[in-house]
Order: sequence, then C-alpha cells, then structure tokens
Amino acid sequence: MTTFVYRIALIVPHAQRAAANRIALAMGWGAGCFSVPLARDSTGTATHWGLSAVTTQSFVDMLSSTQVGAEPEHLDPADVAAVMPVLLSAIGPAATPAGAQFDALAEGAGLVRIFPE
Amino acid sequence: MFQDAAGTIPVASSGDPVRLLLDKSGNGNHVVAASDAARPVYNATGGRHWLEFDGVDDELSTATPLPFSAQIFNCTAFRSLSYNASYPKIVCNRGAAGGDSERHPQIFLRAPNPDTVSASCGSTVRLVSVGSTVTGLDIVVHVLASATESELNANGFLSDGGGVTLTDGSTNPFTISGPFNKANMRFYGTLHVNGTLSDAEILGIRTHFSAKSGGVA
Repeated sequence: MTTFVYRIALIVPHAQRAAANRIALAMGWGAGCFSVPLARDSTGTATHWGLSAVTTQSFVDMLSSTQVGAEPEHLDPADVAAVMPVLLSAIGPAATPAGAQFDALAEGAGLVRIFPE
Repeated sequence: MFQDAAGTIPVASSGDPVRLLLDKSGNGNHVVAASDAARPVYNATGGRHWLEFDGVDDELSTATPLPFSAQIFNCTAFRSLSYNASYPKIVCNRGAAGGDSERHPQIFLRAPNPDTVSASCGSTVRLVSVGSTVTGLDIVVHVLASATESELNANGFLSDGGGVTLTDGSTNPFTISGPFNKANMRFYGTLHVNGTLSDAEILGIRTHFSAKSGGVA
C-alpha cells in the first residue's frame, strides 16, 4: 500500500521562492519545486510560486511541527525562518482534485495561475 | 517506473508517484520529472494502469530532444479529467520557439471546444470532434506527418490532408503534459516513431492502446 496518502498545495511569495526551493532540495525533492507562477491576474508578472504533490504522513508531520516553531535538523534555519511565516498550504487526502485544491488556496490569497501560452 | 530520478526506488503500489519512466523501445528515451513536485501518480484498477497528471505542475520529459525526423508518427492514449488550462498539452515534441514548422506533433485539447482533440503538425493544426466532451472519455489518438500526408485520428474521428514540411531547430525535449499548460489526465502510454507506418501497423498500435485504455481503436 502506498505511503503517499496526502495531496498538498504550497504557495510562497516570489521573495521567498529561492529559500523555499532550497528547503525542498534539502528534503530530497529536487531543484525548482516551486514552479507554478501566480499573480493577481493571469497575465501579470509572477508574485508568488506554488507546487502540488502527493506526500506522506511524515512530511505532513514535519510541516505541522515546523509551522509551530520546530527546526528540522537537515534544513537551514534561516530558510525555514524566511519561508514558514509566509507559506500558504492546503492538505487533503491523496484523492483530492489537485487543480481545485491549488486554485482554491491561490484564490484565498487573491491569486490566479499564469499561463505563459 | 521509479519514484526517484536515479531509478533506485521502484513504483510498487497504486498511489505511488513516478519520477522516472523508462523507455521500453530500447532507445533510451526515458522521461523524468524535474522534481518530486512534478511527479504524476501511478494508478491501477480494473486491469488498467495509468499515470495521473495533476494539471498543476506534473510533467515528464526526455533529457534531450528526440532525434529529428521529417516523418513522424505518434500514438497516445489518455483520458482528460478536467481543464486546468485553456489548452492542456497531452504530449509535445514541438520546437523550442513554438515555431509552426519545427518538429511536432503537439497533441492538445481546447477548453473553448471541449468536444475536440487537436494536433499541431508543421504549419497545420488539425482538429477533430469526438462527438462529446472529451472530459472523462478514454481516447486513442494518433498523428502522422510527412512531406506527402498529415493525419489526426482520435477514437476513429479523422482529419487528414496534404503533406507538411517539418524542420529541426529545436532544443526542447519530448514532454508529457507540458511544457506549460499542464494536462489533468490519465495517461496510458505513448509511442513515438521517426518515420511513417503502414495502415496495418497503425491499426495494430491503435488496437494495443485501445486494450490498455478503453479508447477506440
């Protein structure tokens, strides 16, 4: 049985994108995870960046503990301190429709996805 | 299929994400997700197997562009789940500049025409209606293009005509769900051939993908 039981959407402001990507890289997710551009309107310049992924209980636990001040050993405390206060997140069962979850999170912040072409 | 780019963690269960999908042709054109966030999810039920792309950031691409050919054939089986973009791309072998004559095909959907499947091929964009909205419909689509003919066939609905001139000039990889305008879809598989095939060969390929997907051969 799969351990990927959650679907998450995460969004960070442009200013914290590099730090957020470093955190994801340090967790072994690879480079450039925050790849979805967002803005106040669909033709604007990206002000925020997001991702959608299936993930595990351990990641959700880590995210929750970090949001209340824990500092995972393998992450740069400066990056965590920069990102966590401004990180937008949504967590649901793995079967959650990804696009609807992501767009609802974005809409709550007054954002929409930018489609380059 | 593997959960990691290095190919060390096999996909073992329905629900596992897929970072690396190996090319079964022997040509080494494996496709990989750029990050864990870009991984589609393997699913299986009722004897069918597919990758589910989230329509947000999931994308699989070859590491380098495929070798160029002025004669191409592609057959892909998929089921669109929703329109997360106006023009979601199913597979794309288009040139980096999006030039009309570069490489191809690019198979995509159109939200404004929700009963249609489209394919850019050379300077021609072919479009067919499959008779109902494509959302939720298993589809076997093939595209062929050469100097003497071009053709799009989606579940037996056909658009064909004269030849097209394809040129190289691309640095883009072959991509499933992208680049840009990701597709929210079940992806059953794709076969890309640098060359043209006989009608019997095409029917055999379509029949194979029909059995895998439920789309019409």
